[in-house]
Amino acid sequence: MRPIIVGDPTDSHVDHVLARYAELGRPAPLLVDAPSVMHGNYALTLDEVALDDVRVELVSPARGWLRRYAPSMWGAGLRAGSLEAVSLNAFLALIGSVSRLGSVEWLTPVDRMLAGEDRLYQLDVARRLGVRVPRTIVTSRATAAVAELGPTFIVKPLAGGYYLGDEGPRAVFSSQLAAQEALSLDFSAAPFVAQEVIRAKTHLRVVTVGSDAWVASLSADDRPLDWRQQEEAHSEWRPVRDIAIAQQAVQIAAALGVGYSSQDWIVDDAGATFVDLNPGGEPPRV
Amino acid sequence: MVKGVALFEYLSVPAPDLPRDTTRITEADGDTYDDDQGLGRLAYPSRSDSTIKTTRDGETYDDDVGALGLGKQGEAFGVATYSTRVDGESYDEDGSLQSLSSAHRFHETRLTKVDGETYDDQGLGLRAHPQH
Repeated sequence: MRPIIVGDPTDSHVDHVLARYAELGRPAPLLVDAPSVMHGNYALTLDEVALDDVRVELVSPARGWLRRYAPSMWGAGLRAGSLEAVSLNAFLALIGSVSRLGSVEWLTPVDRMLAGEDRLYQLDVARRLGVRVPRTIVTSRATAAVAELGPTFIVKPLAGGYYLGDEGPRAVFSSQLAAQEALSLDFSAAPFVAQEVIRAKTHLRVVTVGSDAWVASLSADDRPLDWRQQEEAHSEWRPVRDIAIAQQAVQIAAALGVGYSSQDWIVDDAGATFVDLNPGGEPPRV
Repeated sequence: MVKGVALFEYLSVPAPDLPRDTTRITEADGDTYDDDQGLGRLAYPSRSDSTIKTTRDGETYDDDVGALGLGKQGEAFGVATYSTRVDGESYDEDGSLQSLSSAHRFHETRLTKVDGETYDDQGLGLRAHPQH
């Protein structure tokens, strides 16, 4: 039976999966997301979804992979409450329905995915499993962050880190702040996660699929605090065999109920610390 | 009590790898622009006070990028001509384009639908994001 992928054909992660299906000679998945229904001919009943004449019954054993409802920044810049914003939200809601109806076996069910994206919930789940996590606070007052975390700490957005500025798209990466610097800033404008500084020796990215896990490492030498800011870092990951980390990563994913996850860990002199998890994230290039 | 700069503003940097779908790079007047493939609309001008011209697909587009953004766009698709005024919220179009279905102001942002495609224009009205 033809599977369903909720995602964007220009997304490299989706493209890799589609290519794999083609290699195996299996039926091409139905690829659907908010822009594709917006521009295509679609029909959704309680029993099946159709897009541009490709139909999939929403019953087991149909399987699905929820990558994302729409590309990053889709609809960014729209005025909240405008006709355009309401229209786009309706398309997103439609994809939400596709993701919930029937008895499709989703790699990660949509509601699990939404919960799994919660940074604080991830940390709470990991900590309850006995996994080391960084001391964390979300606060409207810089003084509270300094009191909790000391003279230097890490800050990163609680949710999305991209936005449209006057001159174009902007990104916010994990950054380190000193107390004096932090005290000059407005922590009340939007919730940020503040965490203790962990001096990374190695970054780990762990991909889990069900009960399987793959671990890749990246030396922290000569890297920015957030390795994603360094282009070459994206291609310098190396696979490693770390059964303990793999097991813990699988436990975290299972506790969150996500069938797939891409997790970030940091290794310092004290061992490994779970940092965060993306239930739709891409695997590292190894 | 005076509040400091918000964390988002303080920590943000230009997004280096924002997904742009069908985006391509063009150079005009010595500057580099990101140009989507849908309408030939120029995106991400590297300077905001210039007037640029670009030719693509055999059509010529004149974009006036004064302080108020996209001043006019002519000879679009060869058969239709329309002009836009981002600042004045006024959009005139030739009926041969399906069209500008709507426009609104929001930090010089607008959404336009042309030929069935949806585009997001922001900043100086020169950035476009094809939605698929």
